[in-house]
Amino acid sequence: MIVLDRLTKRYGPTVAVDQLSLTVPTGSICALVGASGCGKSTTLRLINRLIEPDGGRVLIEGTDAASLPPVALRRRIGYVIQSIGLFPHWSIARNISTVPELLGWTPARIAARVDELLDLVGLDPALYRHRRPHQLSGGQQQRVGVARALAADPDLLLMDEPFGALDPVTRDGLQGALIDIQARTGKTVVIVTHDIDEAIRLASRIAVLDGGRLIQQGTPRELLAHPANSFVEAFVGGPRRGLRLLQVTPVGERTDYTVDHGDAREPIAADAMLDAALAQMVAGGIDRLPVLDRAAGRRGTLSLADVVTS
Amino acid sequence: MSLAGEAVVAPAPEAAAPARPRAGVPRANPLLVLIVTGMVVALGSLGFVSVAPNRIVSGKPLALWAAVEPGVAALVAALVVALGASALIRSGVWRDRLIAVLAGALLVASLAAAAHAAGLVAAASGPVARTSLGAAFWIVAAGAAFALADAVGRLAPHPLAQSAIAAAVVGALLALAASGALADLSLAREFANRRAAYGAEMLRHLALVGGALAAALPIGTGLGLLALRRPAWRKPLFAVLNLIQTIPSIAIFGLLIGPLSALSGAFPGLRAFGVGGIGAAPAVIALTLYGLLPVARGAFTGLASVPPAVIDAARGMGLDERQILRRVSIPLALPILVAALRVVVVQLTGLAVVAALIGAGGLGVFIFQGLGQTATDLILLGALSAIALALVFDLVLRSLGALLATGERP
Repeated sequence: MIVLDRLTKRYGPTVAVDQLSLTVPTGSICALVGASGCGKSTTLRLINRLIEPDGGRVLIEGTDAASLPPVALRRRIGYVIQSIGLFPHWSIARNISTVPELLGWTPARIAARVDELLDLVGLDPALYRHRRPHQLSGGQQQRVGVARALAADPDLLLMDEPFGALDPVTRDGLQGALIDIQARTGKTVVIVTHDIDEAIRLASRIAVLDGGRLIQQGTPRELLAHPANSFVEAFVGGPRRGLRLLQVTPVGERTDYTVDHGDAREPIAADAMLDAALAQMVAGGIDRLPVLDRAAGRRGTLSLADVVTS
Repeated sequence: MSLAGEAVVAPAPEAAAPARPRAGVPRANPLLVLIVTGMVVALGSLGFVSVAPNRIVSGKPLALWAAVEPGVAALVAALVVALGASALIRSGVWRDRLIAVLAGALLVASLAAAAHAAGLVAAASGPVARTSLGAAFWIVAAGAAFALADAVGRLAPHPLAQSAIAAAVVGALLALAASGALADLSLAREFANRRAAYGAEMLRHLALVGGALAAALPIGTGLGLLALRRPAWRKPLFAVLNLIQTIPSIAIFGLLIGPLSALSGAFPGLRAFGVGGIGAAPAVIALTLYGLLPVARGAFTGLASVPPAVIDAARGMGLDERQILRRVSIPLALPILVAALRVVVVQLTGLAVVAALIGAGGLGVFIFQGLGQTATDLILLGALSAIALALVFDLVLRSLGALLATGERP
């Protein structure tokens, strides 16, 4: 569990981070969102002490980060940045083994770990191990960036707009890969992004920052359903907020399980989101869909009216 | 001899004439046409060697065809004509190869021809007579070197290959010198008269440069790092270093005489270490001062060229500042650092010549002795040696830089 306790950072008269308190449960993905200059990147860099706070503290699994030597602290925390920052003069394998090497792992253990990580991020080790960063596409480079951050098996992963510089298709692929990796490894992830859709897709908790202050935190659904003020409402989508709400509401919640029309069409899964159901209705020109709840072993029907009204 | 003379003069209109109608054809190499025209004019109107009855009297120019046997003159002329003709061939790899071979051969042949002329003079007028290299020789040799460099530059863009070819040419000229074929040239006689002193002064020159480097590299690198880490210091620091560069070298030597004499006067023990108003100490100090700017600027530029994202990632992963410098910044900056080192070494090799003025020794000794005795070839001996030394350093460090750059960067 990561606890930020009244963290404060000032640059001259400007307060970059203002008395920020936040708790990130172990094994969750927490997104820090906000406009540029809201202090989200500064907050992230306060966690691994690339920036030292002027007030407050960071507790990592109960230990005050300030009590640890910064270099040792950072080796325990994965760090991924938007510009990736792979070492251009080293091979992919050597890039990934940076931290294990610093920690004095044996070469055999490092080599095995490199292959394991390349597999995890979806790059064929035999093909990519010996390549140089410049021989890879931007998306592949960031996959290596993620592998490098995970190399020494840190419990915490800090990501500063990791997919911000990638094209939408590549970004989508990497977001999927991150969800998958997080599900398999159970890492605690703190991710900074200005893209609310990315936050909704990846995060189990979202913290909205403005002017260095924490404005609201909660699950994506809480934020979308009950924005605390007009700033959050504007940030999470303004007029499009309703559409985003569909992305985080499961079909099962709006399904009437008492009605089964015996529809011949392929049923939609109950744990799919409403936006997918609506898309199928619009594409098919229909106003209801059969629903299959595999876990509970029941069938039901989702009607257009149920999509709209809760 | 008159036959050989015609052979040289005759090609002039021939070599130039075919070039004119084709001037509009872009395939002809206009630079080479210009060079060969210059060679032909020089050979026709200027002395290839200069012959004097003794070392002190200034010599009389002697044209190529008058100075050597007809066969030798014809060989040089044929090479010039062939080089001119090759300018008109279709451009391509084969033309550049042909030009490189012809220019290299012309370079060696013209030196051999001059040595041959010196041998004839020595046989006819006795050992006191002196044969110096004339204006036409220099123009032909420089033109051939230029044509060679131009062709090689297009043939082998890789600095390593260029260095190898340059080394081969230098090797051929050295072999010519070592064979004793050049012994009758005045330049070689000046060298032979000072063989013992030459080795000592060459070592002295190297020691001056090496001593200055030993001081300038650590201090300059430190200043470069300071400029990198403290942006506020950057401007004043480089302003001071720039100012030092603008002071003429003789003025710096002069300025150092006062304080260093006073120092060695106050602490006579320092004299044992060579500290005094004149000698090696002020020379090394002055050379160090000159070396600081290129070293500091190179270190600063090189390290500043490392992408900030790479440094940020390195720091975020838990590399400490020394590890970042050693594993990331220095390897990435290495090509720029080596380039800076090359500039410093070449610059100091040239500047160290002036150190002879304040009794520090080095190759400058021959230049200033030659100036005092109005012995042009002694001046040349010192100057050519310093130039050759600088060229060798340049070549070696350029190759090193190319080796380091290979595969290291995207």
